[in-house]
Amino acid sequence: MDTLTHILNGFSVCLQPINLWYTFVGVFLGTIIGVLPGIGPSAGIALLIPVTYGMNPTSALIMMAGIYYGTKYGGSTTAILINTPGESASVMTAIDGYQMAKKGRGGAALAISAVGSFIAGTLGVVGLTLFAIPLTSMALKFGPAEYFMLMFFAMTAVSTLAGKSPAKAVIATLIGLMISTIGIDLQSGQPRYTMGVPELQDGVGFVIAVVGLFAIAEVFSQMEDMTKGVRPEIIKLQGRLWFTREEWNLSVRPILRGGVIGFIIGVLPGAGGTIASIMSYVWEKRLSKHPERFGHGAIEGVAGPEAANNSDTAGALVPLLTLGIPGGGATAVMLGAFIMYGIQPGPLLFQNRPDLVWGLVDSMYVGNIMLLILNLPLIGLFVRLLYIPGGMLMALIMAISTIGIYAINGNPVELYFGLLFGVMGYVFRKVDIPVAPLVLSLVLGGIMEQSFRQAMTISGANPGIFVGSTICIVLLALSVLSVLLPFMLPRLKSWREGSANAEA
Amino acid sequence: MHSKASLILGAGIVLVSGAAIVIALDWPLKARLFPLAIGIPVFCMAMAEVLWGLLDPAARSEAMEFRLSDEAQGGVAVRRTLLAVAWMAGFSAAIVLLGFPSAIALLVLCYLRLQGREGWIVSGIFTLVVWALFYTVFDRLLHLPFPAGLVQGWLGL
Repeated sequence: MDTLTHILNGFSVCLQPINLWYTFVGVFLGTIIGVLPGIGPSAGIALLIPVTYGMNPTSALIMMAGIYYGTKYGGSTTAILINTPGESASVMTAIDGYQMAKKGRGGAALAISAVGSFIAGTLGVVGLTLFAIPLTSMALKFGPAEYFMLMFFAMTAVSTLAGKSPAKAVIATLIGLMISTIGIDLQSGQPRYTMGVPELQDGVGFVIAVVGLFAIAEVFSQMEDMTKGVRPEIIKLQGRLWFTREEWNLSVRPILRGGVIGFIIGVLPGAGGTIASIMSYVWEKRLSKHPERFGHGAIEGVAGPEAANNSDTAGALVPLLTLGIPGGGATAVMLGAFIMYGIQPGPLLFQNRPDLVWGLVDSMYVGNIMLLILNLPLIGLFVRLLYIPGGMLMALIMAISTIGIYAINGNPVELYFGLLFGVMGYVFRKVDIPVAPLVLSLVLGGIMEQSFRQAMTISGANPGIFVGSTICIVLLALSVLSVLLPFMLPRLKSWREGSANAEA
Repeated sequence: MHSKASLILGAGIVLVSGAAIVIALDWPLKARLFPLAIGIPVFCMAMAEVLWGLLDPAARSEAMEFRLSDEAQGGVAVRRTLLAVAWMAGFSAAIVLLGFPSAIALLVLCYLRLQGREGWIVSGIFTLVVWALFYTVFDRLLHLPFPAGLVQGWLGL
C-alpha cells in the first residue's frame, strides 16, 4: 500500500509544471543527441551536467534520465534514413530500416520504431516500478562486504562484456580505480599521487573526467574524420508516416518480446542496449517463418531491436536506483551526477527520498508519451539536424565542454586536466579500449575502497569476510562466471556445432 | 606505425603503474593497500601486453591496433588530430589570458572561419548565438563567476 502511495506521490512530483518542462527538455535534447551520429547518451549527459548546477536535484535527474532514454528514440531516425546508427544501440535498426526506406517504406519504419519504443519503453518502466521494491528490500541486508562484492561483480561484468577485448576492458577498469585513489586519503591524511598539485588534493573531479573522456575525445575523433563538404545521403520520406495493419500484426509480438529482452539485458551490468538489440534481432529472425526477408526490409527487424534498446534503459536504472551500482557508461555518468548533488542512490534513497526516486521513475512514463508525440510530427525537424555542418557542432561541443569544466571551480588548471582526459579518451578509442569501464570504476572506486576498509575493520583484517555470507558467495560466483563466460561461449558454440555436424 | 603506437601506450602504462607502486610503498598500510591492490595487476597486465607485442610480431599486429580514421589517410588523420588538440590547448590558453566571455566568442569565430571554412556572416551569427546562450545560461541564470583573464589584469582593466 505504501508503495502505491509513493508511486502516486511520484506522479504528483513529476507532473509539477517545472518537472514536466525538464522532462520535455530532457527528451527533446535526448532525441537530438540520438539523431546526431557520434554523440551518445554518456557524452550528452556529461555535457549537460554543468548546466544543472543550480537546479533542483529532482528536476536535474529527471532531465538527465530524459536525455538517456530520449537518445534511443533519436538513434533510429539516423539508422533508418542514412544507414548510420545515431547511437550504437540502433545498429540493428539500420539493417532493415534503411532497406525499408529505400523501398519507400521509411515512414512505416520510423512510425513502428516510435510506437515500438513507446510500448517497450513503458513496459520497461513498469518492470522498473515492480522490481525496485523487492531489490531494495534485499539490498537493505547488504553490509560493507556485500557491497564490496557487488561492486566487484559490476566491474568484472562490465569489463568482460563491454568492448571487444576483455583484457583491454580490465586494464580500463584498473586505470579508473587507480585514478579514483588520487587525492588525500581521508583516513590516514596521506596525499596519494597528488604530485604537489593543490587541485588534485580533493581527487580528480568527476565532471572533468567524463566531459574529457566523452565530449572532448569526441571532438578529436570527429575532427579526424571530418571531410569538408560531404553531406550524408538522406533518403527522402515518401507517403504516410504510419504503418499498415499487416505491418502492425507482424510487429506487435517482436515489440513485446524485444521489450522483455531489453529489460532483462538492461538489468545486467555491462551488456547494454547494443547487445539487447542484437539479441532481439537474432531471436526474431530465428522465430520468423520467412527469415530470408531479414536484411531486405523486414519490419520485425526494426520493431524488435528498437523495442529492446528502449526498454534496456529502464532496466539499466534498476541496479542504479536500488543498489547504487551503474551497469554502463551512461548510468555511471548519472551516478556521478547523483553524488554531485549529495545523493547516494541505493536502498536508503527509497526510504529517505521517495519523492525523488518515484518522481524520476514516474517521469519516464510521461517522457515516453512525450517522445511518441514529439517523434512522429517533428521527424522532419530532426532530419534537418543531419545537415548541420560538423564544424558548428564541434565548436559548440568544445565551448560547452570547457565552460562545464571551468564552471566547477573557476580554475584554469582544471581545463588542462579536462584536455588530458580528452586525449586519453581519444587514444583509448583508437586502440579499442572501452571508456565505460574506466568511468564506472572511477565513480565506484572511492565507495569500493571505503566498503573494503569498513569490511576489514569489522572482521579484524580477516579477508574471509568477503566469502562470509551467502550473498557474498553468490556475488563471487557471478563474478567468476562473468569472467569465464566470454571464454566459454565460443567453445560451447563450436562444441554444439561439432555435435550437430556429427549427428548429420 | 600502428603497432608502435600500441606498444608505446602499453609501455606508458607499465611506467605509470610501476611509478605508482613505488610511490605507494612509502605510505601507511591503510593508505597504500588499495592502490597497491590495483597497481600491481595493472603493471603485470600491461607488462604482459608489451612483452607479448615485442616477442610475437604476429600477435603484435593484432594486439592493440592504433587505427586512425577509415575515411582519411594516416598522415591526414594524424594532422587533424594534432590540430584538434592544438585548438583545445589554444582555447584553454585564451581562457586564461582573456577570460571566458572573450575567449568563447574568439574560439567560436576563429574555429568556424578557419577550421569550418564558413563565411563571415554564418560565423558571426553563430558566434553571437553561442555567446548569447553562454551569457544567458551561465551568467544570468546560474550566476557563475567567471574571473577576468590575465591580460585584463596586466592592463589594469
